[in-house]
Amino acid sequence: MYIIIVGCGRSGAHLANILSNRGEDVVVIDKDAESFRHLSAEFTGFTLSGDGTDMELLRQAKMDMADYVVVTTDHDNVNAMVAQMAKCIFKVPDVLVRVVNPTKEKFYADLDVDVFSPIRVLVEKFEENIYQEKGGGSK
Amino acid sequence: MRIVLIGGNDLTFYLVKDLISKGYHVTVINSNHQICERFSVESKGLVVCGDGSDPVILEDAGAHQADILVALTSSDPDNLFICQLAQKQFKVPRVLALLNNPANKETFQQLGITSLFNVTQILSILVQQNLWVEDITNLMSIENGRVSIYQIVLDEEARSLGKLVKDMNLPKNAVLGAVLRKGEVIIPKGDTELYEGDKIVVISLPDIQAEVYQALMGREG
Repeated sequence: MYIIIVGCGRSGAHLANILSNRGEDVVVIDKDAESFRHLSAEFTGFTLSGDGTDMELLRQAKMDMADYVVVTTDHDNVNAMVAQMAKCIFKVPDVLVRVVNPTKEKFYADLDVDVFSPIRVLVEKFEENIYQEKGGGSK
Repeated sequence: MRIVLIGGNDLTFYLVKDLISKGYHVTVINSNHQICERFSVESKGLVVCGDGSDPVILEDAGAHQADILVALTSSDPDNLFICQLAQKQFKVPRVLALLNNPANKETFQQLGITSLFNVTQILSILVQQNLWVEDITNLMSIENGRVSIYQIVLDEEARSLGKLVKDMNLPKNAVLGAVLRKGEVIIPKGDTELYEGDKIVVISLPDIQAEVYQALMGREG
Protein backbone atom coordinates (compact mmCIF):
# COMPACT_ATOMS: atom_id res chain seq x y z
CA MET A 1 0.00 0.00 0.00
CA TYR A 2 1.04 3.58 -0.58
CA ILE A 3 0.50 5.68 2.54
CA ILE A 4 1.22 9.40 3.03
CA ILE A 5 1.54 10.75 6.56
CA VAL A 6 1.32 14.51 7.04
CA GLY A 7 2.84 15.66 10.32
CA CYS A 8 5.89 13.94 11.77
CA GLY A 9 5.33 14.52 15.48
CA ARG A 10 5.28 11.67 17.94
CA SER A 11 2.14 10.04 16.56
CA GLY A 12 2.96 10.54 12.88
CA ALA A 13 6.50 9.24 13.26
CA HIS A 14 5.47 6.30 15.40
CA LEU A 15 2.88 5.22 12.83
CA ALA A 16 5.37 5.73 10.00
CA ASN A 17 7.88 3.46 11.72
CA ILE A 18 5.29 0.73 12.25
CA LEU A 19 3.94 0.87 8.69
CA SER A 20 7.41 0.91 7.21
CA ASN A 21 8.32 -2.13 9.31
CA ARG A 22 5.29 -3.91 7.92
CA GLY A 23 6.57 -3.33 4.41
CA GLU A 24 4.27 -0.49 3.25
CA ASP A 25 5.43 2.36 1.02
CA VAL A 26 5.41 5.39 3.29
CA VAL A 27 6.02 9.08 2.61
CA VAL A 28 6.17 11.44 5.59
CA ILE A 29 5.63 15.18 5.14
CA ASP A 30 6.52 17.80 7.73
CA LYS A 31 7.14 21.53 7.63
CA ASP A 32 10.18 21.11 9.86
CA ALA A 33 12.90 18.77 8.54
CA GLU A 34 14.21 18.49 12.13
CA SER A 35 11.16 16.45 13.09
CA PHE A 36 12.25 13.55 10.88
CA ARG A 37 14.64 12.66 13.70
CA HIS A 38 11.63 10.95 15.30
CA LEU A 39 11.80 8.29 12.57
CA SER A 40 13.63 5.09 13.44
CA ALA A 41 16.86 3.96 11.82
CA GLU A 42 14.91 1.15 10.13
CA PHE A 43 12.45 3.51 8.45
CA THR A 44 12.74 2.84 4.71
CA GLY A 45 10.19 5.33 3.38
CA PHE A 46 10.70 8.84 2.04
CA THR A 47 10.56 12.18 3.78
CA LEU A 48 9.47 15.51 2.27
CA SER A 49 9.95 18.76 4.14
CA GLY A 50 7.47 21.47 3.30
CA ASP A 51 4.00 22.87 3.94
CA GLY A 52 1.42 20.08 3.83
CA THR A 53 -1.22 22.47 2.49
CA ASP A 54 0.91 23.30 -0.55
CA MET A 55 -0.76 21.81 -3.62
CA GLU A 56 2.57 21.57 -5.46
CA LEU A 57 4.16 19.58 -2.64
CA LEU A 58 1.20 17.19 -2.50
CA ARG A 59 1.42 16.67 -6.25
CA GLN A 60 5.11 15.98 -5.84
CA ALA A 61 4.23 13.38 -3.21
CA LYS A 62 1.84 11.82 -5.77
CA MET A 63 -1.08 12.10 -3.40
CA ASP A 64 -3.47 11.02 -6.15
CA MET A 65 -1.82 7.57 -6.02
CA ALA A 66 -2.14 7.15 -2.25
CA ASP A 67 -4.29 4.39 -0.74
CA TYR A 68 -4.29 6.14 2.63
CA VAL A 69 -3.53 9.64 3.80
CA VAL A 70 -3.07 10.16 7.54
CA VAL A 71 -3.18 13.79 8.67
CA THR A 72 -1.77 14.28 12.12
CA THR A 73 -0.20 17.73 12.64
CA ASP A 74 -0.83 19.67 15.88
CA HIS A 75 -3.00 22.24 14.09
CA ASP A 76 -6.66 21.46 13.56
CA ASN A 77 -7.16 23.97 10.76
CA VAL A 78 -4.12 22.75 8.86
CA ASN A 79 -5.36 19.18 9.31
CA ALA A 80 -8.79 20.14 7.99
CA MET A 81 -7.30 21.76 4.91
CA VAL A 82 -4.97 18.85 4.11
CA ALA A 83 -7.67 16.23 4.76
CA GLN A 84 -10.08 18.00 2.41
CA MET A 85 -7.41 18.38 -0.25
CA ALA A 86 -6.70 14.64 0.00
CA LYS A 87 -10.38 13.69 -0.15
CA CYS A 88 -11.91 16.27 -2.48
CA ILE A 89 -9.05 17.20 -4.80
CA PHE A 90 -6.78 14.14 -4.91
CA LYS A 91 -9.66 11.65 -4.44
CA VAL A 92 -7.79 9.50 -1.93
CA PRO A 93 -10.00 6.53 -0.96
CA ASP A 94 -9.20 6.60 2.76
CA VAL A 95 -8.34 9.73 4.70
CA LEU A 96 -7.66 9.60 8.44
CA VAL A 97 -7.43 12.83 10.38
CA ARG A 98 -6.52 13.77 13.92
CA VAL A 99 -8.66 16.34 15.74
CA VAL A 100 -7.00 18.22 18.58
CA ASN A 101 -9.97 20.29 19.78
CA PRO A 102 -13.00 18.00 20.16
CA THR A 103 -15.42 20.86 19.38
CA LYS A 104 -14.08 20.77 15.83
CA GLU A 105 -15.02 17.13 15.28
CA LYS A 106 -18.43 18.11 13.95
CA PHE A 107 -16.77 19.99 11.08
CA TYR A 108 -16.12 16.66 9.36
CA ALA A 109 -19.71 15.40 9.62
CA ASP A 110 -20.44 15.86 5.91
CA LEU A 111 -17.01 14.72 4.73
CA ASP A 112 -16.09 11.15 3.98
CA VAL A 113 -13.01 11.11 6.21
CA ASP A 114 -12.30 9.18 9.41
CA VAL A 115 -11.86 11.43 12.41
CA PHE A 116 -9.79 10.59 15.47
CA SER A 117 -9.92 12.73 18.57
CA PRO A 118 -7.24 11.67 21.10
CA ILE A 119 -8.81 13.78 23.85
CA ARG A 120 -12.24 12.26 23.39
CA VAL A 121 -10.80 8.73 23.29
CA LEU A 122 -8.82 9.41 26.46
CA VAL A 123 -11.79 10.87 28.30
CA GLU A 124 -13.98 7.95 27.26
CA LYS A 125 -11.38 5.53 28.55
CA PHE A 126 -11.18 7.39 31.86
CA GLU A 127 -14.95 7.36 32.19
CA GLU A 128 -15.16 3.68 31.32
CA ASN A 129 -12.49 2.87 33.84
CA ILE A 130 -14.12 4.84 36.68
CA TYR A 131 -17.49 3.17 36.25
CA GLN A 132 -15.93 -0.29 35.94
CA GLU A 133 -14.09 0.24 39.24
CA LYS A 134 -17.40 0.98 40.87
CA GLY A 135 -18.64 -2.45 39.96
CA GLY A 136 -19.79 -2.00 36.36
CA GLY A 137 -23.46 -2.32 37.26
CA SER A 138 -23.86 1.42 37.80
CA LYS A 139 -23.85 2.06 34.03
CA MET B 1 -26.59 44.31 8.39
CA ARG B 2 -24.42 42.26 10.76
CA ILE B 3 -20.75 41.73 9.99
CA VAL B 4 -18.32 39.43 11.81
CA LEU B 5 -14.61 40.09 11.27
CA ILE B 6 -11.96 37.64 12.40
CA GLY B 7 -8.26 38.27 12.92
CA GLY B 8 -6.01 40.99 11.62
CA ASN B 9 -4.55 43.96 13.42
CA ASP B 10 -4.33 47.64 12.50
CA LEU B 11 -5.97 47.15 9.16
CA THR B 12 -8.95 45.40 10.74
CA PHE B 13 -9.14 48.14 13.35
CA TYR B 14 -9.56 50.89 10.78
CA LEU B 15 -11.89 48.71 8.74
CA VAL B 16 -14.10 48.22 11.79
CA LYS B 17 -14.18 51.95 12.52
CA ASP B 18 -15.12 52.67 8.95
CA LEU B 19 -17.86 50.04 8.83
CA ILE B 20 -19.35 51.18 12.14
CA SER B 21 -19.38 54.79 10.99
CA LYS B 22 -21.39 53.62 8.00
CA GLY B 23 -24.00 52.12 10.28
CA TYR B 24 -23.13 48.43 10.19
CA HIS B 25 -23.32 46.21 13.24
CA VAL B 26 -19.80 44.84 13.59
CA THR B 27 -18.41 42.07 15.79
CA VAL B 28 -14.68 41.42 15.95
CA ILE B 29 -13.01 38.18 16.98
CA ASN B 30 -9.32 38.29 17.78
CA SER B 31 -7.03 35.96 19.70
CA ASN B 32 -4.65 38.74 20.76
CA HIS B 33 -5.64 40.29 24.11
CA GLN B 34 -3.89 43.60 23.45
CA ILE B 35 -5.64 44.06 20.14
CA CYS B 36 -8.99 43.14 21.72
CA GLU B 37 -8.48 45.71 24.44
CA ARG B 38 -7.69 48.42 21.93
CA PHE B 39 -10.75 47.46 19.91
CA SER B 40 -13.08 47.62 22.88
CA VAL B 41 -11.72 50.95 24.13
CA GLU B 42 -11.51 52.76 20.83
CA SER B 43 -14.35 51.40 18.75
CA LYS B 44 -18.01 50.74 19.29
CA GLY B 45 -17.88 47.24 17.89
CA LEU B 46 -18.54 44.14 19.96
CA VAL B 47 -15.29 42.33 20.73
CA VAL B 48 -14.86 38.62 21.42
CA CYS B 49 -11.40 37.53 22.50
CA GLY B 50 -10.50 34.03 21.38
CA ASP B 51 -9.77 31.63 18.54
CA GLY B 52 -12.18 32.47 15.71
CA SER B 53 -11.92 28.95 14.32
CA ASP B 54 -13.42 27.51 17.50
CA PRO B 55 -17.17 26.94 17.06
CA VAL B 56 -17.77 28.00 20.68
CA ILE B 57 -16.21 31.41 20.03
CA LEU B 58 -18.14 31.90 16.79
CA GLU B 59 -21.30 31.09 18.70
CA ASP B 60 -20.43 33.75 21.31
CA ALA B 61 -19.86 36.26 18.56
CA GLY B 62 -23.36 35.62 17.23
CA ALA B 63 -22.27 34.04 13.97
CA HIS B 64 -25.76 32.58 13.57
CA GLN B 65 -27.15 36.07 13.00
CA ALA B 66 -24.34 37.30 10.76
CA ASP B 67 -25.11 38.43 7.23
CA ILE B 68 -21.46 38.33 6.28
CA LEU B 69 -18.31 36.91 7.82
CA VAL B 70 -14.80 37.98 6.87
CA ALA B 71 -11.71 35.93 7.83
CA LEU B 72 -8.61 38.13 7.87
CA THR B 73 -6.01 36.11 9.78
CA SER B 74 -2.47 35.69 8.48
CA SER B 75 -2.94 31.93 8.13
CA ASP B 76 -4.66 30.51 5.06
CA PRO B 77 -5.68 27.21 6.71
CA ASP B 78 -7.32 29.26 9.51
CA ASN B 79 -9.19 31.48 7.05
CA LEU B 80 -10.38 28.48 5.06
CA PHE B 81 -11.53 26.63 8.16
CA ILE B 82 -13.33 29.67 9.61
CA CYS B 83 -15.20 30.34 6.37
CA GLN B 84 -16.19 26.70 5.91
CA LEU B 85 -17.34 26.47 9.51
CA ALA B 86 -19.39 29.64 9.12
CA GLN B 87 -21.05 28.23 6.02
CA LYS B 88 -21.70 24.74 7.34
CA GLN B 89 -22.48 25.17 11.02
CA PHE B 90 -23.67 28.76 11.21
CA LYS B 91 -25.33 29.13 7.81
CA VAL B 92 -23.75 32.53 7.23
CA PRO B 93 -24.99 33.58 3.77
CA ARG B 94 -21.77 35.31 2.66
CA VAL B 95 -18.21 34.51 3.64
CA LEU B 96 -15.02 36.21 2.51
CA ALA B 97 -11.45 35.04 3.07
CA LEU B 98 -8.14 36.80 2.97
CA LEU B 99 -5.75 34.83 0.79
CA ASN B 100 -2.19 35.21 2.09
CA ASN B 101 -0.50 32.88 -0.37
CA PRO B 102 -1.85 33.31 -3.91
CA ALA B 103 -0.89 29.69 -4.66
CA ASN B 104 -3.75 28.60 -2.36
CA LYS B 105 -6.41 30.20 -4.56
CA GLU B 106 -7.18 26.97 -6.43
CA THR B 107 -7.49 25.00 -3.18
CA PHE B 108 -9.91 27.51 -1.64
CA GLN B 109 -12.05 27.56 -4.75
CA GLN B 110 -12.16 23.79 -5.06
CA LEU B 111 -13.18 23.55 -1.42
CA GLY B 112 -16.07 25.96 -1.91
CA ILE B 113 -14.68 29.31 -0.71
CA THR B 114 -14.83 31.48 -3.78
CA SER B 115 -14.92 35.05 -2.46
CA LEU B 116 -11.27 35.81 -1.85
CA PHE B 117 -9.17 38.88 -1.17
CA ASN B 118 -6.06 38.07 -3.09
CA VAL B 119 -3.89 40.72 -1.42
CA THR B 120 -0.72 39.91 -3.31
CA GLN B 121 -2.53 40.23 -6.60
CA ILE B 122 -4.34 43.42 -5.60
CA LEU B 123 -1.10 45.07 -4.44
CA SER B 124 0.70 43.90 -7.54
CA ILE B 125 -1.98 45.43 -9.74
CA LEU B 126 -1.88 48.68 -7.77
CA VAL B 127 1.90 48.90 -8.02
CA GLN B 128 1.80 48.24 -11.74
CA GLN B 129 -0.99 50.76 -12.24
CA ASN B 130 0.99 53.40 -10.36
CA LEU B 131 3.81 53.04 -12.81
CA TRP B 132 1.50 54.73 -15.26
CA VAL B 133 1.50 58.37 -16.29
CA GLU B 134 -0.87 60.85 -14.69
CA ASP B 135 -3.36 61.13 -17.50
CA ILE B 136 -4.68 57.67 -16.62
CA THR B 137 -6.77 57.31 -13.49
CA ASN B 138 -7.60 53.81 -12.40
CA LEU B 139 -11.19 53.81 -11.32
CA MET B 140 -11.52 50.23 -10.23
CA SER B 141 -10.63 46.66 -11.00
CA ILE B 142 -13.17 43.92 -10.65
CA GLU B 143 -13.06 40.11 -10.43
CA ASN B 144 -9.67 40.20 -8.69
CA GLY B 145 -8.13 42.38 -11.34
CA ARG B 146 -9.40 40.53 -14.38
CA VAL B 147 -11.25 43.60 -15.65
CA SER B 148 -9.96 47.17 -15.33
CA ILE B 149 -11.96 50.35 -15.51
CA TYR B 150 -9.91 53.50 -15.98
CA GLN B 151 -10.10 57.01 -17.28
CA ILE B 152 -7.86 58.64 -19.85
CA VAL B 153 -7.88 62.41 -20.40
CA LEU B 154 -7.21 63.52 -23.97
CA ASP B 155 -4.63 66.33 -24.11
CA GLU B 156 -3.88 68.59 -27.09
CA GLU B 157 -1.43 66.06 -28.58
CA ALA B 158 -3.71 63.04 -28.39
CA ARG B 159 -3.87 61.15 -31.66
CA SER B 160 -7.59 60.51 -31.42
CA LEU B 161 -8.64 64.19 -31.46
CA GLY B 162 -11.19 64.83 -34.17
CA LYS B 163 -11.48 61.13 -34.93
CA LEU B 164 -14.58 58.95 -34.81
CA VAL B 165 -14.57 56.10 -32.30
CA LYS B 166 -14.97 53.52 -35.09
CA ASP B 167 -11.79 54.77 -36.83
CA MET B 168 -9.58 54.55 -33.80
CA ASN B 169 -8.34 50.97 -34.10
CA LEU B 170 -9.07 50.14 -30.51
CA PRO B 171 -7.75 46.75 -29.41
CA LYS B 172 -10.32 43.96 -29.40
CA ASN B 173 -10.73 43.47 -25.64
CA ALA B 174 -11.53 47.10 -24.83
CA VAL B 175 -14.64 49.27 -24.98
CA LEU B 176 -15.15 52.95 -24.37
CA GLY B 177 -17.81 53.09 -21.66
CA ALA B 178 -18.41 56.83 -21.44
CA VAL B 179 -17.06 60.19 -22.52
CA LEU B 180 -17.19 62.99 -19.95
CA ARG B 181 -17.24 66.32 -21.73
CA LYS B 182 -17.84 69.67 -20.00
CA GLY B 183 -19.89 68.08 -17.25
CA GLU B 184 -21.94 66.04 -19.68
CA VAL B 185 -21.90 62.27 -20.00
CA ILE B 186 -21.94 60.85 -23.51
CA ILE B 187 -22.21 57.12 -24.15
CA PRO B 188 -19.96 56.81 -27.19
CA LYS B 189 -21.01 55.03 -30.36
CA GLY B 190 -19.06 54.44 -33.55
CA ASP B 191 -19.81 57.93 -34.88
CA THR B 192 -18.91 59.82 -31.68
CA GLU B 193 -16.10 62.31 -32.29
CA LEU B 194 -13.47 62.93 -29.61
CA TYR B 195 -12.19 66.35 -28.51
CA GLU B 196 -9.40 67.77 -26.39
CA GLY B 197 -10.23 67.63 -22.68
CA ASP B 198 -12.55 64.65 -23.06
CA LYS B 199 -12.32 62.20 -20.22
CA ILE B 200 -12.72 58.71 -21.64
CA VAL B 201 -13.83 55.89 -19.34
CA VAL B 202 -12.38 52.65 -20.69
CA ILE B 203 -13.26 49.08 -19.73
CA SER B 204 -10.67 46.52 -20.77
CA LEU B 205 -8.55 43.55 -19.81
CA PRO B 206 -5.70 44.82 -17.63
CA ASP B 207 -2.93 43.59 -19.91
CA ILE B 208 -4.00 45.72 -22.87
CA GLN B 209 -4.05 49.07 -21.04
CA ALA B 210 -0.86 50.03 -22.88
CA GLU B 211 -2.43 49.31 -26.28
CA VAL B 212 -5.54 51.31 -25.42
CA TYR B 213 -3.39 54.22 -24.32
CA GLN B 214 -1.43 54.00 -27.57
CA ALA B 215 -4.65 53.97 -29.64
CA LEU B 216 -6.10 57.01 -27.87
CA MET B 217 -2.98 59.09 -27.31
CA GLY B 218 -0.68 57.97 -30.12
CA ARG B 219 2.27 57.49 -27.79
CA GLU B 220 3.56 55.12 -25.17
CA GLY B 221 2.05 55.36 -21.68
